[in-house]
Amino acid sequence: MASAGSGDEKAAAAAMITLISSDNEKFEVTEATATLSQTIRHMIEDGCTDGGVPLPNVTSKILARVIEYCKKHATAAAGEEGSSSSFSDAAFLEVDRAFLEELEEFDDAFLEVDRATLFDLILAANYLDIKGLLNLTCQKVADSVKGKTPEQIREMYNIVNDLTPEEEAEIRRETQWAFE
Amino acid sequence: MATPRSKRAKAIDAGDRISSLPDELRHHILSFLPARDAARTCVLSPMWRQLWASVPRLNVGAEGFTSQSSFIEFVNALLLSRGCIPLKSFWLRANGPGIFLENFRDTANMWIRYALSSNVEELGIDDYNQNDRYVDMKNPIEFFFIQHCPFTSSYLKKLHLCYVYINNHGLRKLFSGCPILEDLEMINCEISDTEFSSASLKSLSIEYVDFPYAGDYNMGDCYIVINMPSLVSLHVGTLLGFTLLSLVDVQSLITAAIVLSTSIDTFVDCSKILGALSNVKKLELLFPYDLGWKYEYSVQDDTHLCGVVFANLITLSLSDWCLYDNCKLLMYLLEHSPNLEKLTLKMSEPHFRGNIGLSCAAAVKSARPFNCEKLRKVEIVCSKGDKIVGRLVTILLTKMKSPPEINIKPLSGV
Repeated sequence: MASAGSGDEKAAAAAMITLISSDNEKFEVTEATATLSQTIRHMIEDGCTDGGVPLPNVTSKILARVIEYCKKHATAAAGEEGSSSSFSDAAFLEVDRAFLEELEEFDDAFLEVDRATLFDLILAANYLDIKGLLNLTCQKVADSVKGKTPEQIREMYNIVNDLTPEEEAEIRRETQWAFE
Repeated sequence: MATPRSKRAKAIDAGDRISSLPDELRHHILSFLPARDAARTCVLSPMWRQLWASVPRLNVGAEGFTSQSSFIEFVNALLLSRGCIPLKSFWLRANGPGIFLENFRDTANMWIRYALSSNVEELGIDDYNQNDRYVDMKNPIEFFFIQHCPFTSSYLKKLHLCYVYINNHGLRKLFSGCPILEDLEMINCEISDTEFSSASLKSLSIEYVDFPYAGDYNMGDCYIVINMPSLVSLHVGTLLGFTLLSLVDVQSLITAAIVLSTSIDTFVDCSKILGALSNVKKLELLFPYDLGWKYEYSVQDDTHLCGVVFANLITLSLSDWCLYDNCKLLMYLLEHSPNLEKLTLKMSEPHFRGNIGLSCAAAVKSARPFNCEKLRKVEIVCSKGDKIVGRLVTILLTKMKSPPEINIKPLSGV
């Protein structure tokens, strides 16, 4: 019976995870929220989350945003259980539809950040291996580039063009088909 | 000469966050762009020159191209420049004005062969200029004909087809040629084959699919057969052609939706279909009132349904076909779904339904009351003043030992 009791305690304790940002701030999150990150999921599976999970690549400012995203999407992930379709199973039930709309609105609002934060979020999503967040943020960058000329893209993202005019002309000749 | 590392450091100093991302992340960003935009990044700076060619996802679309010939030239040059770098996904969309894959069928099939030989896992083919297609009603542009011979891949997992024509034995060859295919979506396709039979498929979605040669109903060979033991998710939308939908081995299904609109020629044998869906968790069966019972059946003597229990069923949506024969099938479902939590009944407008002849007395008399303890919520969606709803509520409240909460919602958007 002692073992049963400690098992319960262990289960209760395992439900909360402490994440520690690079500037040493601690964040308490549920396991469901934390495991949207595959990186953290693997750490939990390996049993190395006692005493908190240090995330030396993520600042508290960015980690707070990432957690905000995970909290919202963890509820969505719970609802998707059993449905393996990745193309378009959204049209299933009206409840799901309303929820998906709400999630979309959340994502749009979530992406209202400056460029520096957006790139920090991309790096954090990659490091923590959160597929949905990585897709969302990379899509945002791609959308901003779509239909723009190389000059516009350089200006938008401070890309220093160290090609000589001759080199650039040569590349354009080689890939003429893409510029017609 | 500068090494890549020092260039990257320089890029960060200059506030160039995008160039300083690792290659895999820049690939990921480029994978969301149309192929032409991705290829154009080659002139941004030396750090971008070669990057586009190794992006594992290609979105080839005709958007922004003014002529078919310029689109073909572009794609040919693109694929040639990429060479044989492996691909994860390839989407081909003929979404430019007057550009139809069928008009250059051999070339388009060659591009698909290129993608398959580059080991794509996800392939999408969209030939979807819906409005242009019927400009000349006498000579509508035909659907893109996929040549099935090269359609063989041991990497392909997902396939999306839109406005594509698949010829006789095409489905069979597709399923046998792609042994790990898991996800198939077909929208607005025309198929001369009738058997969907795959051991690997997990998700199938077909909508507005035309089966022009499904066979002669009177000869008994007009079945569209879905035989997929690994299938987890099924969505069937409106089907065209004189067909009868038949589910064979679909015992792995967890979610199933069969939503048929006013297609007059599709038949569904409700009791047979239900019999095949005994393991589902979520079930949606919506079709016009007269569609489900055109094909005669009787629950009591029906061997397909007799004794079937829907032990996993939690959410159920039905349209008014289930009221047929004094709610016989509805009563059967409620009595045999011990874990059902939510039921939605969608009534069509009374004038579409015709005379349904639902009799409270007959329904109440025909079977004894039963338990459906976990069913707490019933939602009835109907048009205002639909007289049948009152009778339906009476029947539900009389037959169920622990009556649920019943909400009536107006039919919207009509």
